[in-house]
Amino acid sequence: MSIQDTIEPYIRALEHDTSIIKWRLYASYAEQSTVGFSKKSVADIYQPASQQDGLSMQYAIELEGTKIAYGSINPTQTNPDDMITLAHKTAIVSPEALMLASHPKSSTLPKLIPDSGYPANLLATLLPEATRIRELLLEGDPKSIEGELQGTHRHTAYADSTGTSVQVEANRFEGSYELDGRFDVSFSTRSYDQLVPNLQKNITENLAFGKALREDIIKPAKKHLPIFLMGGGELIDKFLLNHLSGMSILTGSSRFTKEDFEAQLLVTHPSVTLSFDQTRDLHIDSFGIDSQGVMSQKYTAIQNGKLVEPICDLKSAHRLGYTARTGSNTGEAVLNNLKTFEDLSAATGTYLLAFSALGIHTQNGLLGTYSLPCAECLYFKDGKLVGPVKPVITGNFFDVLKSDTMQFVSTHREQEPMLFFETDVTFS
Amino acid sequence: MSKLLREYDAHIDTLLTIAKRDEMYVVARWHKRDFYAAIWRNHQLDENRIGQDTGLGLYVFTKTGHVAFGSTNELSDEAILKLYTELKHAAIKNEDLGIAKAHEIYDLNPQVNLGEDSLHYQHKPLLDYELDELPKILAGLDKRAVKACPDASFNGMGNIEQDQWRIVRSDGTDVDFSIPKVRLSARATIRTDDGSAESMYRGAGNSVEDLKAALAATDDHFEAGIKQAIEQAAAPSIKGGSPAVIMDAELIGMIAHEALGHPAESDIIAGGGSVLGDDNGRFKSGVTVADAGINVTDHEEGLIHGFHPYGAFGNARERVSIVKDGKLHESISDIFSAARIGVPNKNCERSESYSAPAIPRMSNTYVHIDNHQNMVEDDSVSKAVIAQRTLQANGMFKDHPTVLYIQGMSGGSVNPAGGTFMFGTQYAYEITTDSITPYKPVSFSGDALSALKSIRFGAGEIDTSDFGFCGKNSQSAHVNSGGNALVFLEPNESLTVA
Repeated sequence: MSIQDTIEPYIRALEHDTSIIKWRLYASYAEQSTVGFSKKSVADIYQPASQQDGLSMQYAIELEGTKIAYGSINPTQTNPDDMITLAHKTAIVSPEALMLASHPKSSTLPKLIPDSGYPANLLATLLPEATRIRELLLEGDPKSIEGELQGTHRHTAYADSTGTSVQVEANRFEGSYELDGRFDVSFSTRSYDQLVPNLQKNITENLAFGKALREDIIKPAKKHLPIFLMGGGELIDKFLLNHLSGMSILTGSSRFTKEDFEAQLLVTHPSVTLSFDQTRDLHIDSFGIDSQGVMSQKYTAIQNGKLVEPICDLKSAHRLGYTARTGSNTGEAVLNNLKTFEDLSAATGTYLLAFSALGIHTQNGLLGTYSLPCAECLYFKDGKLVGPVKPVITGNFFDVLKSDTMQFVSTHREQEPMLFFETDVTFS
Repeated sequence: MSKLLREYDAHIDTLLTIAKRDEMYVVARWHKRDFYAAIWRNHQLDENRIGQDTGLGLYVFTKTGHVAFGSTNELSDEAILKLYTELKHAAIKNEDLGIAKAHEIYDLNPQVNLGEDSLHYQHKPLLDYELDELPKILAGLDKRAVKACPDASFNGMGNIEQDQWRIVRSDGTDVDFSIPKVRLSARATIRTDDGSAESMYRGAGNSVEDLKAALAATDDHFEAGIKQAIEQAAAPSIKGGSPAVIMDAELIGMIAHEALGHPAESDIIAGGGSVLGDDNGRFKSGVTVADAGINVTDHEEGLIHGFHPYGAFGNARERVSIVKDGKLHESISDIFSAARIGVPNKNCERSESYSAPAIPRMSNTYVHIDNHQNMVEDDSVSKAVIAQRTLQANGMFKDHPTVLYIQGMSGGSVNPAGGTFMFGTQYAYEITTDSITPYKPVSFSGDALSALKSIRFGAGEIDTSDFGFCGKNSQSAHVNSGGNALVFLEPNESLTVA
């Protein structure tokens, strides 16, 4: 049964119930195939060859008296009448009517499935591919390997009481491996053909980094150093993007207010612009429509260091008077004209290359202070690798955001740019 | 025989019969989940949400132990048999390719259903709960927050979760359990001319009544937390270093969880990714990691937040003594990696939903210090004052004129391979014998193998009230952690506060 066939009886039941003022439905069916691998084997008990199929449906229903019920059900287990009964039993008086997204008639959805489609019997295809990647990694004799190849084919359908009906089909393929329990390498794509070649591309270089991290830890005398941090976008998410959320601004948990946006407050160095484009064909960060019915868009959150607009969901957009968006993270930002790691590291000479920072999620996003151990980190002096280090980087990230040294840096190793900045550091 | 999810008896019979005919071994996990969430924003109940789903997670093993796993939430005969057939073929393909085996599944003895009503059958239909009680509690806290600090923003969430599990195996095992969870978390954001700060407040139980009792027990913490946040907004940042530290039960529990618990998980050790494994991939049992009298345990009987009576493959979970009298002793293990790393199997595998493969996980992890000191109790003073008086009573200021008191957990992480752990704190105070100075919250990081070695004394009884969530392999598990009410750590270069 197609996802549209699944959702149809619920649409009819909602349309025929006169006690219902407005409604929206979002249903999703996903088929997912996964094969894990480790140093010892492929598809072991902890990362087995697995086939996971799942169906879910979210509803939002407004009843008389501005009473709204939100919920999620399994359409194979809860029929339309029972869903409406559940809504009547759990609806509460809401501060405002149910919000429905507006959809321009001319809007088009990005293409999320390549012409090559989705492979038939993917699970069987992934098994030998996982075996091959594992064998390549074993050539570097790492202490441990943990990896995974995964493909997902998802069908979604959105409908609401304005007559809007949208269906989207999307592929997603992801591959990752971790060496020595120390650093991750990952790649995501809409096209299966690109998955394995891209994952294989830098294995030799990554094995060399893994080997370097196993050498004896050194303790440089430096107390302040530039750092290239992989996955550093999470710091921008924690200390900046989280504060741009419309709901955070409404609830007072953001460090910014609506007035700050109206005043176009300068919050980063003027060289920083954070724009998002969710509409690019076959791009991994694109999508069709979210569960609230908001379609993919292009928008800018920070322009030349200044606040542009909060990133609002339907409810906060209505309350704050902005356009509803689907939130993104820094890793999904469109960052053009980046310096490459090769160029900037050559120009910098002495620096840290950190493969991760532990516990970014534990930092206090309101205070700006950070204190993060970088368990997997290499020290380079005058352009040459000296050895592995165990630094704790500290400082105030609000100051980092405004510094003229912070920048995003592209690397052939990772899809997401690295973050480069200067920081205080203590070595242990 | 299970009492729960009996509506799937016919599917189970069919599945077991076909698997037997095919000479396959199956482990089938039925999981029904109901949840309710009340979201409190801007001084009102802004939204409530309800959710229901039931699904099947299925392992299919060949006679050689080659395995495939899958799940579906379309619970028709046709869909279940389609899943079984796909997995059977995948497991046979694995056998043809000569890849990983999990033959240890045949070493599990059939498990009798433990069936105690008091521990295993506590569920009731979600709509039979008094759902409006959670918003009432949140409304009361909101009023108190505004009274304590008129400019405070208050946001909160109340949750009811009810998971029912039934685990059936080809060897006749048929066990079940349900553990309802009722939880509330609230956050007050303080803004002053000096800056912003947050105060967190939370509680958990197995019923609304339990939750109310838990909150009543810590009622005075709510306003105290807001007062601390106001102090914190104006407080300076501390200079990084390795000072003498006294920490509360939440934080010593965090050390137990992050520094010892995760590296002690048998799958990580077997994979060569743990600092607690030797070069041959064996658990470093017997290695001294703390003074004599210091113990770290996992698993507690009772319906506490992280409790579950069976491992995800269906055998009764057992208590684990990770550190016994200062020495590494046992691992958080399951049948598939226990023997490989040289420890007894404790059935510690968990799966957080029908669609998730089972992996060894902690449940409730506590530090117990034998011969602990008395804590200076006084409900009329702050926790920092109690810490100061306890330090005075134990003569600690003589050798350590300045001690950092850290209080309240704010999440943590560990790198099991390198042994580096870190966690955030909610409050920090520099304490001398006659002064208490607030600082902004700090991060505490260090080396797993030496963290417990710095413990000089513990004070007060074991506090098991802290609860939270632990992430591993994209699964979020309910857990508890804790320890003695106050624990003192001597300065150690490998432990850093910044």
